[in-house]
Amino acid sequence: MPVQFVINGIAAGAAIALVAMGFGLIYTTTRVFHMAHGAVYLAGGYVAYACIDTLGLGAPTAVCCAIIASALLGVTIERCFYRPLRQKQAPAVVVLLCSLGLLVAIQNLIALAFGNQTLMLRESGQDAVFDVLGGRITLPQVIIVGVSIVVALAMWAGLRLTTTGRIIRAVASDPDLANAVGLPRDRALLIVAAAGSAVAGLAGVLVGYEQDLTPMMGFHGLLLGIVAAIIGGAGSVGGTLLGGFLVGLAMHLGVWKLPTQWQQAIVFIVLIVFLLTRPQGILGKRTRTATI
Amino acid sequence: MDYALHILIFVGIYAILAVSLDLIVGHGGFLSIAHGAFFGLGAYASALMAVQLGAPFLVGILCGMAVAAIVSLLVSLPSLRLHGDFFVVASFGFQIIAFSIFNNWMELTRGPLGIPGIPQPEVLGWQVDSNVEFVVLVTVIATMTYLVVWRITTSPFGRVLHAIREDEVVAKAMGKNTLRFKVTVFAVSAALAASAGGLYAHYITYIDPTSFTIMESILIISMVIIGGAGRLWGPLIGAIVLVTLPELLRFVGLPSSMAASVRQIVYGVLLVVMMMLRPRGLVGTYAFGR
Repeated sequence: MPVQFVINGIAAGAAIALVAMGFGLIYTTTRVFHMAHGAVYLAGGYVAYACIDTLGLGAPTAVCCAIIASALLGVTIERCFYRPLRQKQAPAVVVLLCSLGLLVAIQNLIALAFGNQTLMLRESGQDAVFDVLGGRITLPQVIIVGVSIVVALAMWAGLRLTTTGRIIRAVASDPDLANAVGLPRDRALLIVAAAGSAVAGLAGVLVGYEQDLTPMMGFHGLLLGIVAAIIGGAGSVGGTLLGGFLVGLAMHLGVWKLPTQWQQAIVFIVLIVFLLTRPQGILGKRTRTATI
Repeated sequence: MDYALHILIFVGIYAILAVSLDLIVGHGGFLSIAHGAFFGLGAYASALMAVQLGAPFLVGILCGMAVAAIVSLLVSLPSLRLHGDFFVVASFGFQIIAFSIFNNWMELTRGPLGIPGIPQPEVLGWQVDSNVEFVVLVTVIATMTYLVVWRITTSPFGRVLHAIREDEVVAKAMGKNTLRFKVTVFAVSAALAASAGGLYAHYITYIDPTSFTIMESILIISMVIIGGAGRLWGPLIGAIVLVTLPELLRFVGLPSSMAASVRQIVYGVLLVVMMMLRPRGLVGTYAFGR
């Protein structure tokens, strides 16, 4: 039944889009290929788990804790690793490798603390289910799709309509010039790290709530998010949201005809097709001029 | 004693992987995180040749190298036109697709069940069945790999490669077809990695997809970066450090469920520390500058 695959694809795509929007915001502004974003996303889910399971807090408190903890982690990474590297004018590859090292280290620290097994954020059981055009959509899926659209609107409005947003866009287009004309570059980068990481943490909680948590989720979520950001056009919030849905749909419509285990391969084949034919993404303007 | 020899064999296999990756990373100047896939291709090709067709060791290894070189073209021809970060993502993508194939193409690779009963190597009538003999075999092949890499990097071909690494536009302006150079070096590197895969398969005598994951690729790139890119013995030092260091953890007596995570944490932290303090690696000459 294709309708069901479309619904599952959109729900999965919404979660991917949340990771992608945070990644895209940080990537376009700080120009760091922020692999550690996957660790921040993972941390969100596990902080929520620790709050609920270990500390016995209620769900709303747990979500707030997770978002704050993720934002703090993102800010710490920006402040303690990316900023010193930027001051040394380290080449992009060095920053990327540093970020990759952070991802591997943090993901495994979490695996060490919580174990490699699958954890549930809630009792598995009956969710409210709605019928849509002959398919079924669960309440958690509705929440994820709703949150992703709200976050996209908020991010768009924040970047377009506020003064801070204008400063962030100025820094994104030319960090040195922004600095030279007296804009608070370093503060803008910290705000971007906090906002992008908060969204990633929220995504971690929602995915943990809709499905479950495993440490490998960090890597997988990150890769899908990067793919969505590239396909959508990393500079555009709407494009990234669209990219997320497209990745989710590709995964789930692929499963309609192929065995599930090929999902990841399908995503990366879509990516490679995009990289070759339209590297700037669906809605992206031409990316930074090729730095040959 | 056998344990020490076992470590030595692994150092040799990883030295081949790291020095071949250094051709791309240190000499060509573009970052690829897909070496685990070529390692796996070599392992699967030579294992299947030996188990299914009863082919001799050397034939299997050469077949593996040929397969890896041909497959590398599928990756490099489209994706080497991309720049910087995008190429890294494409290589990640290839690594994940390759793992999917190892893990899911049941008819050929037997998926997660793996391929058992790979015979120990016999080279021109010499039956290699003890660890001592295997150390000799690995050393011979590693030395040959080093000679190949040394020959390439000191040749006119290598000088063009270095020119591309330093400034691709200038190399193009000099009339060099830079894409052709990059594609060639990528194929050579993939073939050398595949030879390490063949050695690995015939040493362990059993392979399954978990040996060729994205973590394996990250481990190999860490060896190159931590040892030092762009210098012949940099990757060797990286391989020695990253193979022996986690073995020390064994003596601390961690339970095996934790040991894997702790090992990964060591790789991750080392990578971060090196990038913050000494991006050129322990003995490297190239620090990814423009």
